[in-house]
Amino acid sequence: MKNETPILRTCVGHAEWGDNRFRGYSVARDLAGCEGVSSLLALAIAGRRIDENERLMLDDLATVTNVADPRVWPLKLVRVTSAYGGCNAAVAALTVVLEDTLIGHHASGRAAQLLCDLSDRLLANGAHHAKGREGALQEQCRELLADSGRHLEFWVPFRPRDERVDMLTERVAARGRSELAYWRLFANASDIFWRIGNVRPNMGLAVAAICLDMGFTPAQIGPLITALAAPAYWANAFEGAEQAPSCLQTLPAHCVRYVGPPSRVSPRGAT
Amino acid sequence: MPGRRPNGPIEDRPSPTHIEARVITPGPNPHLHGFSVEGDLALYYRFPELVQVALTGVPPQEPEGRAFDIALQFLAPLAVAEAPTHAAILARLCGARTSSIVAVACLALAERARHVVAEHGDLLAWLERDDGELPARYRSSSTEDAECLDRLHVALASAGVEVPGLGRDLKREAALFLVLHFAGIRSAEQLETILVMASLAPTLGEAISHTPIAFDQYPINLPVFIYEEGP
Repeated sequence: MKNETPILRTCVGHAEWGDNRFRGYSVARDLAGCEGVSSLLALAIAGRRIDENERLMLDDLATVTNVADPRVWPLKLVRVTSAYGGCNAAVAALTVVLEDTLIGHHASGRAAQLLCDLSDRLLANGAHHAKGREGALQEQCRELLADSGRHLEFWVPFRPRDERVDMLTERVAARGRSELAYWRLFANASDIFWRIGNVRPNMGLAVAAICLDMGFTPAQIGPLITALAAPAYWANAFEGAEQAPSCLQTLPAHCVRYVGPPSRVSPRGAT
Repeated sequence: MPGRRPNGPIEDRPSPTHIEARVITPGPNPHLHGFSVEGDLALYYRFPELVQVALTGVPPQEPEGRAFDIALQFLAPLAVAEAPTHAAILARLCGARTSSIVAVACLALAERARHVVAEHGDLLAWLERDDGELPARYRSSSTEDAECLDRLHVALASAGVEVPGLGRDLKREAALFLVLHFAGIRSAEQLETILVMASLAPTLGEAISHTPIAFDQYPINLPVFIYEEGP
């Protein structure tokens, strides 16, 4: 037993003669010609084939959340990292940075957990009928606002409202998904936040609601949205690597200001 | 000329025009936390001590510098069985360029460092409190750990260093964390950096000793993966 080769079980894939298996399906017979990128990503991460309406909703989500301005902090990181001509390294750098960080697409998993907790607390408080639910939700929203330092889901940088939430709201309605449980919770909570705190949730919370309504877990939502948002990463990595600009390899001297300790002599240097 | 778009939220918001340097002076004759690297540190300090300056802002005393040097050496080797070295070898095997192998090694070493430091959270809290009993899970009765600690005591003694509280019944990594604490490396951020730095060169040494694209030499089914389809 001591020298036995360790065994790992996997549900992801198996290389076969003349075909390959992916998440329980034949690539040749079941997936080829049927699946698109977003539905394959959903299958990859959640292990479930989504239906056509869900696939189109994920496509909408990937399109709407696409903010590719290279000055946005995570994308600036891509431009700086690609400054020596490496495209993939820059995408890898951003992908690593996003895991468990407070901003960016991966944070939609954290937002999903917040929505789940909110929903659980409402149920635990017995807020089943509409009037009681409204009051309980308002109470929960007040608590979240009081603790807003921990919840960047209500931070919309540089602008009064997140335009992506407005676009998503339109697309959710167009796909007939406005009455699903988590989207309704999100919409109701958004109204309350605006009414009592003059704040609006950002895209992360809206995306989380859409994905929770599809049955994805918070742990799955972060990686899924990170992967769906990849066009903005690759666009910046590719252009950044092509440009390989010297002004990002080294910023001009006049753009840097030293604010650290003044020049001094070390203890050994002084003796 | 393509037309420019009107201002957006970024252009319309005031923003600093400079990036701040807080530790390293830009330009010639670089200083680290105020100490000239070329005119001071390079003359009077060894490279590991420069690392201590970089992370703590304070040039170490001789015993702290020697203890840090010894801890780095004990931390350095991670054999092929360890994930960072295994990953670096896989990158080499795939024919990756050197920069990619280095990046993979750094990434895997950093992931391992996060894991190791998290596992020593109670030890770090105990070191900061400086009282009470060492948490029992960092004690060891294994011969391997005892022999390692013997070698650590010999190395420290040969450098004239005595690390308070460094007994002979600690687990290997806990003992090395005690030495790092003595050397001024105390926060999780500092420790994770040091764990990566210590092992990077040996990990790369192992990786580049392997032949690119020599797939036949690599055990592709180790561990054995068993594919199971869902219900």
